[in-house]
Order: sequence, then C-alpha cells, then structure tokens
Amino acid sequence: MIEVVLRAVGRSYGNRSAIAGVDLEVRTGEVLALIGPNGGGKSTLLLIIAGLVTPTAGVVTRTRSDARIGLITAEPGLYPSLTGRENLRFFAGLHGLDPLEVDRRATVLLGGWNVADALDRRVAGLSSGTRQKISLARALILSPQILLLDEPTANLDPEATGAIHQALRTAADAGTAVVLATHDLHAAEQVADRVAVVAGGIRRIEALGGPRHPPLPTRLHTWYHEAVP
Amino acid sequence: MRPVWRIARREWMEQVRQPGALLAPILTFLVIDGVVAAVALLLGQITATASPDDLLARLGVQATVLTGAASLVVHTHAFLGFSQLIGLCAVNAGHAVLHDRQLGTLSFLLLAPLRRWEFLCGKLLGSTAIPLIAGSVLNLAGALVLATSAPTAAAGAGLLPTEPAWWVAWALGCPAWCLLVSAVATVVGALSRDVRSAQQAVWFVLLFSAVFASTLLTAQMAAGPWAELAVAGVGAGGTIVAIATGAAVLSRDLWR
Repeated sequence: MIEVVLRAVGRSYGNRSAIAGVDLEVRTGEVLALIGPNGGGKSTLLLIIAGLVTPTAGVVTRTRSDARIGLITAEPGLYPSLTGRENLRFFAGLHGLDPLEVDRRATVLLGGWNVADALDRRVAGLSSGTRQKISLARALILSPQILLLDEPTANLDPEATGAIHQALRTAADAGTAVVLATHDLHAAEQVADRVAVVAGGIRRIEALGGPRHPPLPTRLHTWYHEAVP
Repeated sequence: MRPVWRIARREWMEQVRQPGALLAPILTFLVIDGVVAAVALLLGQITATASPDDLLARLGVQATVLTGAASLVVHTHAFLGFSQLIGLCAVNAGHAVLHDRQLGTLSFLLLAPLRRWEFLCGKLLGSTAIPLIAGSVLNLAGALVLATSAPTAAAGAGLLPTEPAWWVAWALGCPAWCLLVSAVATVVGALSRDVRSAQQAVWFVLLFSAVFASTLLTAQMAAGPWAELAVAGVGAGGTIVAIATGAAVLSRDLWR
C-alpha cells in the first residue's frame, strides 16, 4: 500500500531551490533511505512528507489524511526540565493517548533498551543516546503509520545506533512506512528496502533486494558517487 | 480545549522548575510594591507627626506637597503595576514559541493534531499565568497598604481597592490587556528567526502597547467601573482578534 505520493514536488527558499521535480512513493512496510550530501534536500523532503513544510511546486497526496506521523531528528527535541515520562505523556497526550497507556508502552520500549530509569529522570541529566531513545519511544508510542527519521543516529554510539536501526526495521516489518534520511551508507544498506540519492532532487532510486551482505556496500558507494560526483 | 490545557500546563511546569522565570516577576513586584508601600507609610508618618504650629503647615505648603506626593505615589503604583505586568507577560509569551524552535520541540508540536489557535492559546495562557498571579497578588498587597495610609488613601480616590473600578481594572482590564499584548508578542516571536530579532520585535510591540494600555487602565479607573469594564472589553476583543489573526498567519508555514 502506498502511504504518500509526491509528484513533481519542489521547494525553494527565496531564489534558492532546495529540491525540484521530486517524484516519490512512500510505501507501507518498507524502509526508504534518503542518502545524499549536506544541503542536498534530504531534510526538506522529509519535512514535506511530514507536512511541516509546504512545497512551492508539485503535489503531495496522502492515502490517509489522518495518518499518525512519528518523527525523529538528530536533536531529540525534548523539554530538558521535564522528566522522560512527562515528555512522553505530554507529546502522546496531544495525540489523544491516555497517560497510563503511554506509561505502559514507554516502560516496554525503554525497558527493552535498558533505559527504563530514564522515565523518572529529568531529560537535562540524560546522555544523548538515552535522550534519543526517549525521542524514538515518543515516535513509536503513537504506533505511527508513517515514521520519518532525519539523521537519527548522528553523535550516537554503536549500541544506541543499533537499537534505533533495530526499532525502525521492526516498525517497518509491522507495517509502518519508514523514511530514513542519513549520511550513513552502511546504515542505509543494513536497514533499507529502497535507497534514493537526493541532491537537489532525486538523482537515483534503487531497490535493495536479496541478502544484506557485501558486496552491497560497494554497490551503494558506487551509486552514490556516480550520482554525486 | 484539552490540547490548550495540556500546552498551558507544560509551559507552567517548565517555568515553575526554572527559578529565574519564577523569581523575575516576584522580585519585580516586591521591589515596586515595597518601595511604594514604604513611601506611603513615610508620608503617613509625616502627616501624623506634623506640628500645627509649623510655618509650612500654616501656609498650606506642607499639605500641598504631601497631597501631591501621595497622589504621585498612587498613580505611579498603578501605572508601574500595569506596565510591568503587561511587559513581563509579553516577554514570556514572546519567547514561548521561539523556545520550542530552539529546543527542537516545535516540529513535534506541529505534527500533533492541533489547531493553530489551540497552540497559540495554550502558549499564551501557560506563559502568562505566573506573572499574572504573582503580579496581581503582590499589587493587591501594595494597594492595600496605600489604602490604609491616610495621605495616599485621600489622594488616591478611585485608584485603590476601596473603589469597584480598581477591582474591575485588576480582575478584568489588566489580564485582558496582558493577554492582548502577549498574543501579539507570541505571534511576533513565532515569526522571528532568532532570539535577537524576536527580542527586538517583542520590545517594539510591548514598549508602546504597555505604555498605552497602562495609561488607559490607570486613567479610566477614576472614571468608574463601567469605563474600566469598557477598557477590559476592548482588551478581550483585541485578544480574540490577535489570536485569530496569528493562527491564520502561522498556519501557512510555521516551520522554517
């Protein structure tokens, strides 16, 4: 099933074009990785899919107008003076979730990542990895139909990075449409079903079928450098 | 209304946990009301101890000076009370959305099924609650001191809690104008790209509007409760218009 369709989508900031002529489909149960250089328009594309940025050209169509969207960014985007639990209750509450249900889901998710104690500590005192796990929990607690991740593992250690990759793969397998914007070609190769190279538009898009082992990274590097010299 | 309450409550919680946010309005009004109350009590003491044989008293000079000073104290107290309260509320509200932009929480708020007016109202109520409560309580305490001191009680007819107009001004007029100026400041702050431009824009808005609103609220107290009620009505109506306009402006593309 297709969740979001973009046709000839573009966004300009003044005279500068961030992306142009993007045709893309975001599909249920699939991880789509957006790779590309800094300033290539990956984040803009992600925000257009989220509905947070209005395109200046083209059309964005959502199959479900009320689709719940989970978002994870490089900065966790949490209130530092509030505890993990208060942050999760607040954001999930805006989506209409009951606080007790939020607590239950948060305990399961954060417990699985061995950071359940973060629920009752103020975010200001938590490590960046733990903050990012709370941010991930905020997105997953909503049981989103669309999960968007913008460089979610920037500045994280391999353990936290692995937990996030595992979680987004699990979410996709459960039927969520996942879009991951990343610089990390290795991560893209590990978790994505399709990879799009974004540099002012979509330069190339490929499905990653078959077993996930070398020489796929070599193929990805070759594609990337062909698309972005 | 639940989203409004949730956003307002979170704003409140965050401010309560930041000592600076809590102390600034309390200290501001402690200083204003403390100084004014001390001067009022001093004037009362001078009047009580003035000798009937005093030359200045016999010439009427002392009475004129004392009455003028008492009147100045009462008017200054009212004007400073209104203007500082409007200013503190507007500064808090002007930073409310920008704070979320800085923390990176704005995207997550905008993803929620939340109408822009709900977002604005929540921010507005949450960010103005502490200054409004602290300012109103401490101002009432200061005004009660003025009302019990003979010179200021005599000179400040219409501007003290002994008059219904005072209660209308503080219970309705001042909160309404605080919300109006704060609503404009919230939208201006939300449209700003960084802290410096937000501060400059909010200062521009609040300087003129705080002086205007405080003058209006102070002047109309002497005209009676109905005049003060009309001022409050203008403030409340203006707040609704400001929120509606702000919601329309922000709905285009708040995220940048």
